[in-house]
Amino acid sequence: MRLRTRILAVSATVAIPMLLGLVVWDSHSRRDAAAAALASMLERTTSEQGAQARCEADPEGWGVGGPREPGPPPSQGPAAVAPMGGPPSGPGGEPPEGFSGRPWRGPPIGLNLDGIEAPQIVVVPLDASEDTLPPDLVVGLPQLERSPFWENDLRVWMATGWVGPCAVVRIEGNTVPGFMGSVLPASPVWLLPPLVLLAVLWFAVGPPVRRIQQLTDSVREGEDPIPVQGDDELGELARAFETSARQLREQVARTENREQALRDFVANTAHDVRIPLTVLIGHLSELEQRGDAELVGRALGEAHYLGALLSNLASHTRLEGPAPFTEVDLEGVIQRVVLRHQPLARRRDIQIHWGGSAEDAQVQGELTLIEQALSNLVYNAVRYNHSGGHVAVTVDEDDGGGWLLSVEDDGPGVPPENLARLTERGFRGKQGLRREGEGSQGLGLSIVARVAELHGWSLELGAGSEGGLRAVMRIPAQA
Amino acid sequence: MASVLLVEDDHALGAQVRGHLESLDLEVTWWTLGHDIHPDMPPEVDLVILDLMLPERSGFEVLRQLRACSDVPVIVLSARDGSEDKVQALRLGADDYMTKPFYPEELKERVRARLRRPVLARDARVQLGDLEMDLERREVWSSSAPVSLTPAEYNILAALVRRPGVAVTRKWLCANVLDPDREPSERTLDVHVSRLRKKLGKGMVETVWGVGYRLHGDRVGLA
Repeated sequence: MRLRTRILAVSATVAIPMLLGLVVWDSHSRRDAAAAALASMLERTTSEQGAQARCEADPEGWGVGGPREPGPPPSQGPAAVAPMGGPPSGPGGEPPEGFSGRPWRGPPIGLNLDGIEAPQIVVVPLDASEDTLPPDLVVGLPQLERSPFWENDLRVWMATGWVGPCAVVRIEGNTVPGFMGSVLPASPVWLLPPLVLLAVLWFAVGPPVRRIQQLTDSVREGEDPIPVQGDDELGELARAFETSARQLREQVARTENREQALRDFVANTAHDVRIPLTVLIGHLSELEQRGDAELVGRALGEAHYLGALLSNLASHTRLEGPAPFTEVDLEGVIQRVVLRHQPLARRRDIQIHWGGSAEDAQVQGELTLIEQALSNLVYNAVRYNHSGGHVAVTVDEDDGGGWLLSVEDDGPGVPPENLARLTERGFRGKQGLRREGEGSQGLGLSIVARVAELHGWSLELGAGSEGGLRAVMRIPAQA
Repeated sequence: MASVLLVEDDHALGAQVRGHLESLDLEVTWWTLGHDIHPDMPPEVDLVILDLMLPERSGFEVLRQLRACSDVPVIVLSARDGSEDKVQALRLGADDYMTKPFYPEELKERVRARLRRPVLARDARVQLGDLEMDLERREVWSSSAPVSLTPAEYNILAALVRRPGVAVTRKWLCANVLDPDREPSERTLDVHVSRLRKKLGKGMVETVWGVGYRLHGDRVGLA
């Protein structure tokens, strides 16, 4: 629920029960006052001298007033009615037609009957069923008949203690105005102040709510700095946000700087190591021609491995950082990778073949990472193959305009239960050997998987057509 | 005798690379740092091997100046992993790049590939070793004798001739060369190729393990 709506709803939820409570309380207190006034009027009338005789002589005209108005008595059946007051024309007004009792003198002295309309004393016939009488009537003690608080009609009963028709009398009256009467003024104008108050509240809440919204937007959009306005609590909130955001930015910047420094360090170290490694490979190649070809060949293999590790180390840090995409010619990448591993393959009597699809295979991607991924696949295909084996690298058009970049070998292959785990970082087969050997499953396949993921390609590893491993990168068509 | 300009600041590596190049019977000029290249006096060499990280004048600057006045093939040497260097070098007009470390054989192979005259297969009439083709009139001669080929055989040969020495995948040949109405399969392809081989003589069309077919490099003058 929006803030404004909530404030209005809360105001209404508080105001309406309060108003109702007030009405009920007011109604109660007026009923109590009227009941007390009626009771004391009944007491006085019955305690006047000769009251019993007057009552028995003229039950209808008995009481403090005459018949109020012609017409049926208010639903009391055979009960005689002795109206006391006329219409609220007030004391001294002309008694209505048919008036036979004493002229209306107003209430007995000392009694305030304001708020009571048409009080009248009724003589209750003795043959009335007991149900109509209050059950615990005590002689000389007026008793209010129970009725719901919203009823305007009041009836006070009294047992006079006289023997005869006037043994039980009752006084009746109406509270005026009725329920909801006096608390809420008669004119609906009273609605105006609360409505104006609500409207003012609605508009007064507007600006702070707008500021909260602006602050929310600023924080959400990561505005720098977060605009701070005002000296109130909202201003403080904005300031707190700004302070916390600044600290966060500083921390992120520090972390990024640290990471960048680490990446730079790795890149620079890799760069520095590459040159002597190239020289070392050159020397070893020369030695190979002059002396113990087998021994030096093995040393060359190690140097090659070192170079591959180095590239993977650098690729690993590249995968963590930003990787701008450019147009990459897949055939060019294949040719370079094949040429790179050709010397190692030749020494192991393994043939690397490559082929294209007679079309230009151009994709968007990160050149170095794609080359590294393919290089890792080819390197593994060469390294884990047997003497006399083959490796094939192809790029083909896929159905739907994409490309299939695949590396297949006819080496020993990988057991099906290990295929899925190959791309996990650090997985090296069941032997857990750190370096090449029987149980080793490949260098940098996790990097291959991550490069594929970065480019939105899928990497599929499976058995080759002649028992080795077949790795396929499925490159979707690019817009 | 072909000549090569080597620009490499590392002395040990430079000396080694010079040795490799000289073993290919190339005449080597070695700059140990980047020099300005005057637009009117481009270096008169057949190939440039250029290290990108040079003191004083960067390899990029040398490449830019070189490309302003010459279209000699350039192979760039990079010891950095960033693609930016390679991509920028390719944009500036480098023909190829090599990442250190590399084997001497790799270097030699690249150099040979760059110095080799490109085989043009886009003309209507193609001559590759003993094989001669007229791509417009769809005629083929082997050792000057006309050869009669079926449309499928001719299409296969034409696809291979467009990229001499490069293997073309079976998948591509099946999808693009064979008649799609006759449910092309790799088996059909193999049958066509074996007939083609009989007509052209042994060794002309080579099977490439795991890939497909190609014209044999020796037979088409690529070696």
